[in-house]
Amino acid sequence: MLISAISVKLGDRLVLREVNVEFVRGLNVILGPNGSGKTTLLRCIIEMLKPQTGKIEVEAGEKSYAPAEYFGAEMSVLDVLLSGDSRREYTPYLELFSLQSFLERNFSSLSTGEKRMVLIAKALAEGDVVLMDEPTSGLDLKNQVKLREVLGTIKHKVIVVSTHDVSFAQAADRVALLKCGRVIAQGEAERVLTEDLLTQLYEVRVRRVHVDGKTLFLT
Amino acid sequence: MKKTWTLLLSVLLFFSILAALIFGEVYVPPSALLHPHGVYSVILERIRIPTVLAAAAIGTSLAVCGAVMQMLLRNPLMDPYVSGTASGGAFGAVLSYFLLAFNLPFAYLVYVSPLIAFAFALLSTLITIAVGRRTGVYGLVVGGVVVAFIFSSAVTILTTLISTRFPFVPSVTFWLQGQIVVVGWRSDLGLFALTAILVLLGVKQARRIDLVAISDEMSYARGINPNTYRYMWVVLVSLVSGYIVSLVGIVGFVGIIVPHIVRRILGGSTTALVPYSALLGSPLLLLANILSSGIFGTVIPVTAITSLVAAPIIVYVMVRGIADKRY
Repeated sequence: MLISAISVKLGDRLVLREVNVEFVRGLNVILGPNGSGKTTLLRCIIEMLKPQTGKIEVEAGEKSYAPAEYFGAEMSVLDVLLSGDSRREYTPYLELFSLQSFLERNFSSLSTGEKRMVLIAKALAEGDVVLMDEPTSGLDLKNQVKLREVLGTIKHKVIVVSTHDVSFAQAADRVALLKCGRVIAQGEAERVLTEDLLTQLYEVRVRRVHVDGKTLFLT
Repeated sequence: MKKTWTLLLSVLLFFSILAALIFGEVYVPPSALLHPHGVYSVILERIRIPTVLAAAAIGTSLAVCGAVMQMLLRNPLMDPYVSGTASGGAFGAVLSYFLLAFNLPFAYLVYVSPLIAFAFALLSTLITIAVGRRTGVYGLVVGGVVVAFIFSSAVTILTTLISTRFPFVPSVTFWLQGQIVVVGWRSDLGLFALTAILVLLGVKQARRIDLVAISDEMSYARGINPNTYRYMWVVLVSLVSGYIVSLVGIVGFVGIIVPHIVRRILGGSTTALVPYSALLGSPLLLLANILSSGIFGTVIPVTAITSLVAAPIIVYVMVRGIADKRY
């Protein structure tokens, strides 16, 4: 996916300024603080918002979206999966997240994290280009790790995830840092997730340390 | 589960049609249903049968309109009455009588009245949505109630003004509280056509309606513009409500009562809500109409009956906080 020079103005505020970014097959992460324009960028890709300038070229195939906010409708999980009539095979993705036993349960009665996992499984099953807005919020640690592992292994879809969670970005094939509507860096995770760039991004001193062969980010 | 309920509701529908044919301003004995003779055959053929069929279709339509509106606007308290749609329609219908002052032939009313009712039903619904869109679940209800107040006042003023000049214009209570007393075969045709379109489209589009209810972003990703989609349905709901109001006045709350019961029993997916609301809407309105049309010795407006049933449901929804699942 190639996004060329898009600018978005919402009301009086310039939310995205001349954003150029490329997303590849595999996991792409848009990392940035609150209000940096991550959700706006995702909404441009699904044509919910029309950029004032620039263009977006998306790979052929179905798009899907796991939203940050949604309506907790009173229907079964199965009905939620089938909504929109995409007619895809959901079982493999339900199994990945151990959700098979949820099908008959009332979606509105699930916990925040469970609802989110259902919508993530739905998006993964339906889309060739899968967009996720803050998918880790509301997830417990186990599910966060699980999600990162699963997304890291899917290489045949273009997956674009927005998050402010630095550790999540480590699993990505490609990371774009978004600050105040501008992309300040993009590329492979290892090259982008540096102390200097992250400090610049979040305006707090970020330190990168290695413990037991893992990289951790501390403030 | 679904098969049992389909059977149960079909039986209920059958008996409620039977009861509605028997009870009314004139009691038609069951024996006369099988072998109509004399005055009974005239009553049945000219009045009772077309009116009962109309009531059945109106019950179905209003229930399905309510179900679809509730899904698309994410609010279990929506129906064509609460949204102000019906009041706008009533104003349009009354206004079309006003045009008689310009010496148009009376017969034109049959064709023009539903159209003007539709135009104002649409207008009032759009105002409600404009008022309530940014203010959450209760904003939509309050907006609808205010719009309903405005158009109801306008109906009262207009009918009072024209009642002296045109005594044949039905009274204010007819327009504001609804009475399904006499509906002819000709009106039935339009009613059946609209009901059929509404139910078939609702069943066919059920999964898409579910998606739009869950999330705007997910809809856009699927290639559905949720706002355009909502407006498409608002137009259809206004068309149906406008037509119904021009025939029988405002019949309120069927669209709240019926989907609420279906949701409790069969879940809140549109795939269940539309077909089962369609099936339950008919008997509910037929039974309410039996109570309203003569069983107590006089005609009581049907909304007076339905609102008594709806009140506890609305309180239940509000107390349990279902309506406050903000998005």
